Amino acid sequence: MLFVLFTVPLALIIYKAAALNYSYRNILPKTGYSLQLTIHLENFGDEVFASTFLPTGNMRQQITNERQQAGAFSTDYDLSDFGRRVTWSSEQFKGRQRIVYECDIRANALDFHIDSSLLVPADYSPNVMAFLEPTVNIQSNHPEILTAANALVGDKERILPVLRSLFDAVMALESRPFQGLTDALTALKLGEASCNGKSRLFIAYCRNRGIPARLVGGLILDAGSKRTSHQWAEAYVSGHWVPFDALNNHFAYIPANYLRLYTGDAYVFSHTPNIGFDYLFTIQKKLVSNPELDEELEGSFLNSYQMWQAFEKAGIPLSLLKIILLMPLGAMIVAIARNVIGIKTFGIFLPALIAIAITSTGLLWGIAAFVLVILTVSLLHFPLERLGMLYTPKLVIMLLFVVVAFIVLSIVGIRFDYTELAYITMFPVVVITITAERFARNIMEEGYGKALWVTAQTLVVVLMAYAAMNSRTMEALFLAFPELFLIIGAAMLLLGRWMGLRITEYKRFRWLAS
Amino acid sequence: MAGVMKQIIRKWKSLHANVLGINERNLRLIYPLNERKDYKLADDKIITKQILIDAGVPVADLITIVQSVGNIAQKWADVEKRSCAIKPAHGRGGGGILVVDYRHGGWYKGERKLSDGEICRHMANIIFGVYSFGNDDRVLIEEKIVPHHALLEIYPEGVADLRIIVKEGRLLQAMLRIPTAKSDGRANLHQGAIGVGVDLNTGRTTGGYDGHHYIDVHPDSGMALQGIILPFWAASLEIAKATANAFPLKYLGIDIAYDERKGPLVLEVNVRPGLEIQNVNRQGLKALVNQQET
Repeated sequence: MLFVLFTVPLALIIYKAAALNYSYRNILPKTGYSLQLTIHLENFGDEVFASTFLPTGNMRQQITNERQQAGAFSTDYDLSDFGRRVTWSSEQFKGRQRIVYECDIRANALDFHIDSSLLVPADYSPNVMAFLEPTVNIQSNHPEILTAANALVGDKERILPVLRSLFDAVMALESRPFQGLTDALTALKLGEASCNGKSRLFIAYCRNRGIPARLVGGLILDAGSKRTSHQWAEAYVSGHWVPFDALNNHFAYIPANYLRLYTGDAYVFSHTPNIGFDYLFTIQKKLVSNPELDEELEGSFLNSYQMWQAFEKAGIPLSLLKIILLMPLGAMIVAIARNVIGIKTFGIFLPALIAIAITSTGLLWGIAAFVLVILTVSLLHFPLERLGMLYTPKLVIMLLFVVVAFIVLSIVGIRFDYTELAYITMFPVVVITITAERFARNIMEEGYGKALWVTAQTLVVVLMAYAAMNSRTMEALFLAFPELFLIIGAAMLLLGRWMGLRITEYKRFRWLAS
Repeated sequence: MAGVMKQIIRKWKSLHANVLGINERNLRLIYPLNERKDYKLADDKIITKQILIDAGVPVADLITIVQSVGNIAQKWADVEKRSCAIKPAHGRGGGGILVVDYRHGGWYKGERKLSDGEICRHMANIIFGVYSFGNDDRVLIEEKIVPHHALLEIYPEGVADLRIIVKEGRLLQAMLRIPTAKSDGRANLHQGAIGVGVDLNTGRTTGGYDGHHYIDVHPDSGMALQGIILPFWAASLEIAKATANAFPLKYLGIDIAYDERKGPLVLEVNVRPGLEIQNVNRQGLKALVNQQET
């Protein structure tokens, strides 16, 4: 029985790793994002339209799960060189209306290598030539741009040093927060600009030096809500459009959290003038299982990812699922710590629960929260004990003080602009209650010294469980090989019948060795 | 280096051969020999006492039982100013036990005078579950034990007791537990009482252990701990056997106190007796457990 429990999952794991391409790199979950664009329109009964760019999939960004609610508006798509423009319109519209567009995004970072021997070409194909022409806002043949570009590039002929000196010059400009459109010449004259001004200046320099370049618009995907979009530049180098962001210092590199919405010098939004218009991008970061592996395994009944996708479709994110999946692992670590090593802990699964709590607050604040609970409860124990209080009301008072301590600490943190301190309140209240209760009970049964000693041991087990449960490797392994549950079960069946001395008992009974 | 390793491995092996660990105690003794449903017979001091009385085992005289807060005053009057011990039926580690004397027309806990109100409030606390983690409890009031002079000579405070481990009617090991200043009168090793090994055959003490070191004398009184012949030894062993036979629980720690006038009295029985007794006696329990009845 035990033999089967161990060998069947092991054989499965080996088969999947060897034959089905479940390699370590493939099973690591990837970071993904969900994007929600909300547009509010308000009007008093005329024809109305609002238009923006929706992301499209390409080599480095995948867009899935697109959905929208446009109410009474009709939706039109227009694919052009700029990108995919969507227009929501209505003949006769009165009042307030909300349009919501949502999608899931996964993108990779791309790092370009530019051969240092490449020269700036003298000629391009006709369709690229257009990206050398000046425009209203990219004044690439303006005398001041010419003078500045000449001074920067000097007699350099190779494309890499030319791009580098232009890029560095634009980088060196003062950055300032987004304030509408800035053209290239203004950016140069002011010596400061936001993302779009810097990008236009960089593009103007490039075009001036005979390197085709263009503007790209999109979003930086950071968890949170914002109105700010982002612009960066692309320069045409030996057949590729290579990204440059002179605001965030990305030279021939695009990070994984850049979402491309459109190409060219365009506005993100356009709409009927004189109507109420507001919008907000809301971005959530989430872990997703590697879609390539999932695609590759599609038909196989050994594709564990299909099981997890059902959860995602039901709205349970992978980050929550992984906590549930890793719970048995954390519990097993507690079991081993207690029954094999002989470490004493508060409660049986409490260390694993605290470890989970710590994954949401971060290690430092998690431990700080734990210590704070212990400190508060131990300070309260004696006065409450002297009052001869009943157990349950006494616990409520302890919990009350713990919660107040957390809130006070958070307010102090916010007041003194140390907002990290506020994270401590994310330590789940249930875990606080149980911890405080166990600690108080321990003081009553064994006294302060013993209770603190058990606390220290509990903390060690918490750290062990945290290390295992917070590991990307473990996460990936359990998502890819759910059969590991069988191995945990088998190991626990063994441990459940194991009669050996616990490691600490060797020390405890050292007198009895002959 | 290899020599040191060899020595360590030899030590580990000998510990393995002799010592009973928690895992083995649970799997081989407590789970198979003590049924869950019978735990309450040992965990509730009132039930324990009734079983012992029915079996004719000597115990401290039961004065009364208080089940509800409304009865406290009436029941306390029934005590008729006898010195007594007030105990929660479900207390653990000696928590909630109040021993009071009646003298000079008032109640005393040691040297501290207590009012009837304070004593009744303590009983109410017991019933409300202050000492049993929120579960309702009952109060047991029994005659106060006056420790035998042989034990008071070693240390005059608190009540020392004898712990005997019994497996299926067979006595395995015994130790005397003596309170210290640190244990505040309680005979609990976890709370600082000392353990004194006892030879089962002779009732003679073999020496003390304070949880960290072996000791020859009591840390507070300085009295020798070795070579004391315990009083009523043969009777104590008979009482332990009778106690073991009275319970369906087959692996027990039996606690016996020595009263000056009444001799050995059973205090309580324990379904999960601790393993420290091995250190106290400098002898592992493993071989004793394995030994077949002869």
